[in-house]
Amino acid sequence: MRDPFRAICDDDLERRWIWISLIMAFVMGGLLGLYAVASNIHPPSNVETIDSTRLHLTEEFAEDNLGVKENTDGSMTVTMVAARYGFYPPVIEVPVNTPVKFRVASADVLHGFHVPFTNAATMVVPGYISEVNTAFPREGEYSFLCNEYCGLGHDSMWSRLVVVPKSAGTTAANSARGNNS
Amino acid sequence: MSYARAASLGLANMWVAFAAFAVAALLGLYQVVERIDLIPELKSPELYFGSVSTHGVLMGFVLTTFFIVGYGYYTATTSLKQEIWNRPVAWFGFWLSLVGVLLAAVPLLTGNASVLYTFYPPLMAHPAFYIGAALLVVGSWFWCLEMVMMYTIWKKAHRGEAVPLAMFGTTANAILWFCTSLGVALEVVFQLIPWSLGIIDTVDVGLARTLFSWTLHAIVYFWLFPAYIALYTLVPKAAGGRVFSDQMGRFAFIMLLVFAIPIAFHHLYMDPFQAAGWKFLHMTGTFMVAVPTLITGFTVIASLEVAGRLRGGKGLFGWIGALPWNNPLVLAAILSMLMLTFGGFGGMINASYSMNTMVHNTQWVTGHFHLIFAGTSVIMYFAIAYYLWPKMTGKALYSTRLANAQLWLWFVGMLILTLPWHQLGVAGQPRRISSTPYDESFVQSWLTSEMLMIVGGAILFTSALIMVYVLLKTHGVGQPADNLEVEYAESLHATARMPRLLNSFGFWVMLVVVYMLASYGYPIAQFFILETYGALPWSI
Amino acid sequence: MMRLITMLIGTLLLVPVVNAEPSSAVAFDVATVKMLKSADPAAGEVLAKEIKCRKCHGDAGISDDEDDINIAGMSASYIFKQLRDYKDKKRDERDMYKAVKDLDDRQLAELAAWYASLEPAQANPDRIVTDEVRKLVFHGDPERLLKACASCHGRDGRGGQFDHPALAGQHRNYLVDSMTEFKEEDRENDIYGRMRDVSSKLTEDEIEALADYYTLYLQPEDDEDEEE
Repeated sequence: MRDPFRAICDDDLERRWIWISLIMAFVMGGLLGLYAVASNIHPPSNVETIDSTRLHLTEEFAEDNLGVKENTDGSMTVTMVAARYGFYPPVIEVPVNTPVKFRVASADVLHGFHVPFTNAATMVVPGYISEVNTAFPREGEYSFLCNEYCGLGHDSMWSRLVVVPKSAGTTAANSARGNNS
Repeated sequence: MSYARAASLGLANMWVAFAAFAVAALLGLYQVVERIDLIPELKSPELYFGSVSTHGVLMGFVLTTFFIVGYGYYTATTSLKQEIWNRPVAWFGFWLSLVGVLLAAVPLLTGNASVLYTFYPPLMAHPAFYIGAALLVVGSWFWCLEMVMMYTIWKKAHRGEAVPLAMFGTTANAILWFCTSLGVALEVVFQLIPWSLGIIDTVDVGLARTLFSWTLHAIVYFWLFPAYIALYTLVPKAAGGRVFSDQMGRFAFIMLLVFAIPIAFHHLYMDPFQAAGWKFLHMTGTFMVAVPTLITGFTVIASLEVAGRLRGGKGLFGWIGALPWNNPLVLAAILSMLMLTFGGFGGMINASYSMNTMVHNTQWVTGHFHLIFAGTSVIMYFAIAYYLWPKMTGKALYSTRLANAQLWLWFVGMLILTLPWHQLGVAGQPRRISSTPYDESFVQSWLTSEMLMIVGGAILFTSALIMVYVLLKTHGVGQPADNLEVEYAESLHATARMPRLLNSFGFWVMLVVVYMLASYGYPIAQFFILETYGALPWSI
Repeated sequence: MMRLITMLIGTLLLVPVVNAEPSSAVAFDVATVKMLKSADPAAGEVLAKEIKCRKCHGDAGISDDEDDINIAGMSASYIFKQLRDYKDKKRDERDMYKAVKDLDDRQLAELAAWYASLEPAQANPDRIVTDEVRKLVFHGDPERLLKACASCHGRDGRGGQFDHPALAGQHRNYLVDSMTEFKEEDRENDIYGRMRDVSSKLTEDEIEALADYYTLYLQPEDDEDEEE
């Protein structure tokens, strides 16, 4: 079969390189597609809106609804608010190797959170709810950082995530203000 | 013909670019020193974030736009051997952009526009900042018009002939810039300016970020294009050879034009307001846009090999040593391609859909774009300036040795700055922080890289000063230059007849429009369909 | 048996959580912000004279009583929120409730605009600043997850947007009392428990030291001389 690139390229070596480049691009894209479809690995993309100017008066992000809750299937839902300059509740405790769903909203400006060394990360955009689904395979204490410029106090905006062994009960340690320790 | 009038346009624009560069370089040095607690007196979030905003705007909007515009005018005239199309229009665009810069500079330098290069609503800057930015962009559109007009006039007068490669690339870049800058123009004109003036109460942050993303990726190709144009059309000649394939150059430029804009959701992977399907679509395009860069790599290296062997290099790698390393264009090309390799690898990680989660908004990203932009592209800007200054000013380059030393310093400094920067990102350090009040053990692990970065920053700052010094001395004192002609590389293989698709833009622009509709149509329309809630202005 | 008792206690603990109402009814949405922007300070001045705010808050919003708050120059949004919280009984204070219970939102906004327009008290330049305090104010304490006070209250202590109040120039005793009220959860109108979280981690000594850092130090007589 005639190489279609002959029309624009005389050199055999260069034509071979064009094919190699195209194949590399397809392979990388294809691999990512495979992971996306087979393992359901996607970046956070739930497209849900919410009025950030009245956040504490909504039902999902009301003050007494924040924190870690166990769902009927054993997975966890962590409801959080990002507001200058902190995450609320400040200490999040989840069990190891358990599916965790973060539901985060901003009460003011753009924020982001990232738990380094894990894949718990997302932008938090005012007007939209962010949802991250992940699980933590290693126990320990992690920093929970704001990684998006949100104003002059941005440096101070960070808190803690603690991954504990799977055991009974998470409610008391994760009250709406999370200041038990 | 005399290129004097194009030269004054070229010099005016490029001097604005390098003046901005010098100021921004100083700010960069301040930033890299401020962040670690070395000198507590320097610590100040206001100064730091004001500096980051100013540094970003100067390097990413002013240095780039003005340099590219100046280089474009001189390339157009010298490659087409044609007068500037409508000089009053060209100068009007220059002044409009300059007024915009000065207008935006006032709030930037007084801490009233610390909203960073990406504007970041709902943080709100003083309206003068947004108006200034809009004027800068609109002024550059006159350059786009000029390039397209000169290209069209030449084609009419030379029917059937292949447009010189340098102008083909410049015109592609002009079209690319116009199409991509529409995104930020829409955001600024319809959202940010009315909002900052109090005419509208809220902005939809999702829409604003989506519109900005439209500009945000292809703008880096706007910046990269002049480097590629020089690599294809100036460097092979300077090395004593020919360009390996003129047609592949055109193919690369066209692929960049088509794939650069509609792929930008890789900048929004982590944002909740776009669905995963759209992000995935953009990801496929993002991998495609790597192909023209890979092709350029091959063609440029092959061209250099031709030159090296013509100069007597033997064996598998002997041609590398035989190249004229003391020619700034050739030296910069080699260093640029080395940095492109590192930076390109980082880019592949960033493009990788879900894997991007691990590096998003960490210092990896900042390390990446400094390496690929400040490294690969800007080092070529220096070399182009060294090459063109004698031709535009009529005076010989003040010191080739100093120029080469400066390029080496830039390369070494950039690696020392950016490689630890990538490491910091992988070690979890977030972006855009002026201090690190986090858990001790975490912060301790970053210290070595941060110290190394200060060394890199100091080297870069020195290199920046030398560069401006050489240009100043060349313009001021200088012996007369011996060769005022811009010597464009010839193609290795003569092309019997250039295929129409490689010599025109009509079809490709239509393809861009269709591709844009497909990849941005609904993602923008959704903000007018869904019930969205806007955000009020927030101070920094 | 123990399990039963634990469950019962756990359920009882949950009751206040489940039945809790928002800590404040004030949301800074478009309508509220517009209303605050259009509020007339002159009308606020008239109203303040009518309801005799000066009895506790002084003629110029600077109180002679060290236990009372200086409200001059605070942000209108913050003052409005506190007044509304007093009215809604989200913040418990009989005198303030009696003062504002019959006022509507617009009137509260006017009062807020009036007091916001006044000259704020300044922090004492000779005040005590120890290294520990400076660290708390500008750096926080990573171990206790305490963020820098300056991050929300401003590096100059002049506060931030909406409900981040100015602290500089505030009466020392009032600052200590406020922090203590948050610490003991007698005051609960900080949305999302931001100040309750911070104050629960500070020791009493630190609260006093921080109050010294932010305070105004003027004798009551100096006060009247300056403002008249």
